[in-house]
Amino acid sequence: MGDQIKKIDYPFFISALIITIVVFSSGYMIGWYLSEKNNNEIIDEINNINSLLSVLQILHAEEFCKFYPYIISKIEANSWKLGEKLQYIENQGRTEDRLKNLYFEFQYRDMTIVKKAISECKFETKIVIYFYTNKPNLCQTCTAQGFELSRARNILKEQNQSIRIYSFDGELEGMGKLLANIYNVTSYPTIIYNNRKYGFLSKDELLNILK
Amino acid sequence: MLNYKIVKIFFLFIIFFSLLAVYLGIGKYVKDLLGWISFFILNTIVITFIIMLYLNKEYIFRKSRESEKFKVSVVVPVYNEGENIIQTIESLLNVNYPKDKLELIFVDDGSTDNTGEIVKRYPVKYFRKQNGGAASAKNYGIAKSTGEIIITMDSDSVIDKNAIRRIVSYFEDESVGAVAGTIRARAPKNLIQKWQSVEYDLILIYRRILEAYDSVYVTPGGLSAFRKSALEEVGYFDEKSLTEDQEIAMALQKKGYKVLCSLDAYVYTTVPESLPKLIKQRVRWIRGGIYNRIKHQDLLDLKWGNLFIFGYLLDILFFIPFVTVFIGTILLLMEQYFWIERLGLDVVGLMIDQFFVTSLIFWLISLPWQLYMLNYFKDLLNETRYSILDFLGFMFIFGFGWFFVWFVVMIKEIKGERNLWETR
Repeated sequence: MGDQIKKIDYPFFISALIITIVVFSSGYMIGWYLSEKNNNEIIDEINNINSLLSVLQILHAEEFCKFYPYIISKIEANSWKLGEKLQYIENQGRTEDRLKNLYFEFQYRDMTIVKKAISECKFETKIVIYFYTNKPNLCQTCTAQGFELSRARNILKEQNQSIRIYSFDGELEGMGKLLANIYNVTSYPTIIYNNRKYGFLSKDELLNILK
Repeated sequence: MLNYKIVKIFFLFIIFFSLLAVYLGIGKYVKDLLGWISFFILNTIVITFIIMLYLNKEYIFRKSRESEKFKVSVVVPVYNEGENIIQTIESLLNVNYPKDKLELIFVDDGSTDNTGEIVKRYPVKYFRKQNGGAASAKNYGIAKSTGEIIITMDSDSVIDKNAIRRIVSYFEDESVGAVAGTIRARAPKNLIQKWQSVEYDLILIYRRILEAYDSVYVTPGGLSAFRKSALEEVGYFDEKSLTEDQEIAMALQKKGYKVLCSLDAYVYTTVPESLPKLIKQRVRWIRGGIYNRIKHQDLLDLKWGNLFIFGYLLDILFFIPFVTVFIGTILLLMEQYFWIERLGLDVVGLMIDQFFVTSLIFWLISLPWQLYMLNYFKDLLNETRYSILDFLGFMFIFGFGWFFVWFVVMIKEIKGERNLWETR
């Protein structure tokens, strides 16, 4: 037996390639559609809790302090979960800027109302502002910081302490960058509590600062 | 020029590259990109197989003819089989082939139990040698043989009585150098064996599809037949190879011989019944496959046609999904658990994205055609050896186990462990 020249059946591979491209494209588009559906559901959720904030904003002082605990408790649980979902989607590289800006606007309104409740109604609430970015060259510990904040929050909640954590992407054009400039954020992560700025904080360090 | 050191260097590079990507915070993007590429490649191959099957159905499912033309020597390497060898011997003594044209040779590769005593009770040829591995035992037996067709078989297998007359019929074509037998799992009892049973049956059809395109690159040790003159030409089995059954097929293909396979020359082999044994076997297969490709690196050439693609390129391309899974595992260990902690079951709904949906579609495509292939045996042999659940378990769990085996291979290669063929 001698050397043989064997052939490659190019038509099969080309046909398979075409079919694969078609299936891939279909899968990609269906996946995109379902992803968009997820995003739209999040937008609806933001709009729903925004409307509750609007109610608080139009109340007079007395009524504001009276109804604040009830309405804010409704907002708080939903907004935290919403934030976690957004962070997860962001972590998977799928967020849209419009979604984030919408959420940041809501957060800022929420923060304004909570500060009003603290000053006018004397409610006790710890306010933590957290600036992060998804750009890996600017922050390699931001994902970890998110986990630490989450854990610290859960512990404080179990102790029946009132805490609000507001997270902003300081590199996002729009609300994020604006607030980062206002608070003079120069690095990430940056945590602001009681007018003091901190870098990365572990769960225990956070609990120490917040006690 | 590839050499064996390249394997260790390559695996070290994969670890370095993966950890660097994660450290730089781009692990997810690298994983996603590699994931898309590997998925695209793998699914192109799957679709290719589907097309090939569809266009060559009659050829692929053709029955073997039967022949009594050739003098056949069956060589069975044995090592510490004990009483298990009895079924093998009795099945061979019972085959439907002229006894004056059949030579049964058992080569004891240095057993330390009573295997030799048992074999000697039967009217077969028995030789004993120093332990040196299955390949050396086969070569020893071939050297003692007088047949023009050599059949090799595992010592824990039971051969069907018509297997020999069917498998030798292919050699009436002078260009045929080897024929792979129809290896099926013997009496699968537990889940691991049933999954292997599904796998073995699928591999039979895959191999027949490859045969239609002249690219069979394994003649399994469970049962294969060789033209003795072809074996002489390639220098018999490589005694240093961990998977000499693959190496010999590659060598024969390079010499211009056809390597075919039969779908009805049955042998029933004992498959590993436990996970550690299965992993040990698969690690040997993968490492043997790597070394064979280094030895036959000249197959990395378009001139070898479909054999280059299916017998060589595919395995190289498998490194891409392996790296994808490796990086993904690091990220998973670092992060995914924490998302479940933070989000609970909500994380499941959020996982749905383009990659998830496309993956699902391809899984759905691959299920029915594999079931179609498995039905061949069910219809032909009128048997039900595994259920749909076993099949789904094989598709979704067993398949992913390959990645774990690759991790073990990576560790062994980096540690520089040299596995000589362990007969047991």
